[in-house]
Amino acid sequence: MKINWRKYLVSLIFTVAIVVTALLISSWVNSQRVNELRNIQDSISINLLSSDMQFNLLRDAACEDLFNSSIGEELGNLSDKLSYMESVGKGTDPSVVTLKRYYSLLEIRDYLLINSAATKCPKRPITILYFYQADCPDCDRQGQVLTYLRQHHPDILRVYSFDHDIDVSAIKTLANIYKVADPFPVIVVNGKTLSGFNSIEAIQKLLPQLVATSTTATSTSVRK
Amino acid sequence: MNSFRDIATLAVLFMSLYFEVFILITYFEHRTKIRGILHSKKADSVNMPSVTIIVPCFNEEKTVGKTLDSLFALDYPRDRLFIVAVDDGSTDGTLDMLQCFKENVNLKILTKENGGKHTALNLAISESRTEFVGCLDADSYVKPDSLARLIMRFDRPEIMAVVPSLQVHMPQTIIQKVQKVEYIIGAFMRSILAELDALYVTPGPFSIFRRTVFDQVGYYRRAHNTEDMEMAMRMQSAGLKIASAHDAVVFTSSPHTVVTLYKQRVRWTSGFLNNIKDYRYMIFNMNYGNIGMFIIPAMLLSVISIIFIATMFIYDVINVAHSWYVRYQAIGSAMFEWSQPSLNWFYMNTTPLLFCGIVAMLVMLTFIYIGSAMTSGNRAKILELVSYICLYSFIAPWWILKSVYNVALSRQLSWR
Repeated sequence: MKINWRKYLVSLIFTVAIVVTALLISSWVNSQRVNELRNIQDSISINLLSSDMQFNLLRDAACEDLFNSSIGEELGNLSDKLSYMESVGKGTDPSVVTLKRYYSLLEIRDYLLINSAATKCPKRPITILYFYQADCPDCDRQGQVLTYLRQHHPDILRVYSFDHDIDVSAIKTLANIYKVADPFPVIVVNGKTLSGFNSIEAIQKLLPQLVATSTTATSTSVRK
Repeated sequence: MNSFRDIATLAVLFMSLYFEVFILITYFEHRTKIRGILHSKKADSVNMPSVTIIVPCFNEEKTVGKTLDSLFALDYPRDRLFIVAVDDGSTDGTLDMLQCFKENVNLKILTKENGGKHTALNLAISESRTEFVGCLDADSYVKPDSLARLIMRFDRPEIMAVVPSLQVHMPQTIIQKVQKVEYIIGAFMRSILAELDALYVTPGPFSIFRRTVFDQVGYYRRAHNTEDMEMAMRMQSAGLKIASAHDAVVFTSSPHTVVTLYKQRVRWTSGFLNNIKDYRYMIFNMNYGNIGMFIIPAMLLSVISIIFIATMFIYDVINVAHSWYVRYQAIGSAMFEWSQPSLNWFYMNTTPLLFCGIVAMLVMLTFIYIGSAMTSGNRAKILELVSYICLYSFIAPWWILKSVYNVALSRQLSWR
């Protein structure tokens, strides 16, 4: 029985061409994703810098502008997209890791800006710091709770999530200041550090404003 | 592409794509001939050879009458057509039904103790004196021109058997309608495998053999209750050529419920695996051409792939269920609140696996399209196509798993 080896080879060439095309398309789309993340970060960076300067220039007169800015929403958007990259296995991609570190720094900067306005602006957003780790079963649940709260209080609540394992000295310093330690997840509410899972009710008890305000859902989510 | 799972899935998709591309190239290579068969004119009845058609029956009282009617309606010279109905020890009214046709001079009725389909076939073969011998399951019905078209395909002396195009008889239930799609793919595949000398089944419904085949390779064997597959494998191992006549249409009764379909497929797949086990010396043996080097290994690989993909699917379902559970634990009934799904391109699945999967699916749809044209406009409706893809994706892994389990434990299955 005759075997047409040429046909086997031609089939192989076609198949390799299909798979290589698929890999190239996928890789191109991923590079577009990383570009999109960079653009968002640049935008956040510019907005933060602008808010910072505005605050220094106008002092208390800038309170409204300061907290009505889109930074919170953009941080949430970036957080969503970074989470997605992690969920599709791109979490260890060097460019994604760099973006993640940069994102953490932007979060800290926004947090510091809000804190520095504490005395001058009485109506400032509530902040929650959230530290998670990779292999932490309760972190999933905590992430869901914080996402829920942020979705329902987009105007008054900002949640800053930090991967405790990421190698950024500013995060380590922040963690040291608030004495972040096992068991994870750890959240910092009103300067108080709470280890382990905290339910919606537990957080609402600490932050009664979250019960009183009206709810408006958006699509942003908290990482982990 | 960072996990074993992704790499394994891509490997499975690569091999599936390779198989599909190979089949498609073979189609284009033989397109003119394959299309030509469909438009070929009926041969001159003067030159028609004598044929014996064996109808083995075991408890087929409901369908055998219609089967015989379809045989008597064959457009074939009466003096060269001999029908032998073998009652294999039926316990219902099959014999009485056969007796209703005893006046017909072309029909001979044989009775014997129950011994299995292969024994019924062998009894009739041993008594046959015609140049060609065929069999027709007692739940199948032939189109009037089918026998002439099958005989026409014996246009070269080296062609020793010809298989027809099978279609589902009057599909009513959704299970039968999805089988209709499967049979369309089957018709396409059979015509391609014939060109590759790699047909591994001579189906019970109306495969025709030169009588000398049985002298050369022997009679039917039990062969794990898939004697039609074993006969084809034996012929291929002996280098006997099997052709396909996709213009010769035979209708066969098909299971109408999931349970009966499952049982039939477990029997088929277990038989397939057991026969491959018996003929394992053909695997990757260049002496046996495409069937040994490519088709059997590809079939075996498809069994492994389907089990792998099904396992991954179950794993994914468990993961999704778990994440829903975690979400429910965290935020309770609020998880059921409606939120606008994101249509942002950023969140679209763009893995290479998806692209390869889409290409594989498109090639499969091409097979169905070509197969529809081959089986004289037996077109599959969109709903039937979607049902086929959805339903078979869910139930096929189960009968494959059960068959692998049976073969691993050497469990024998009964016909019914």
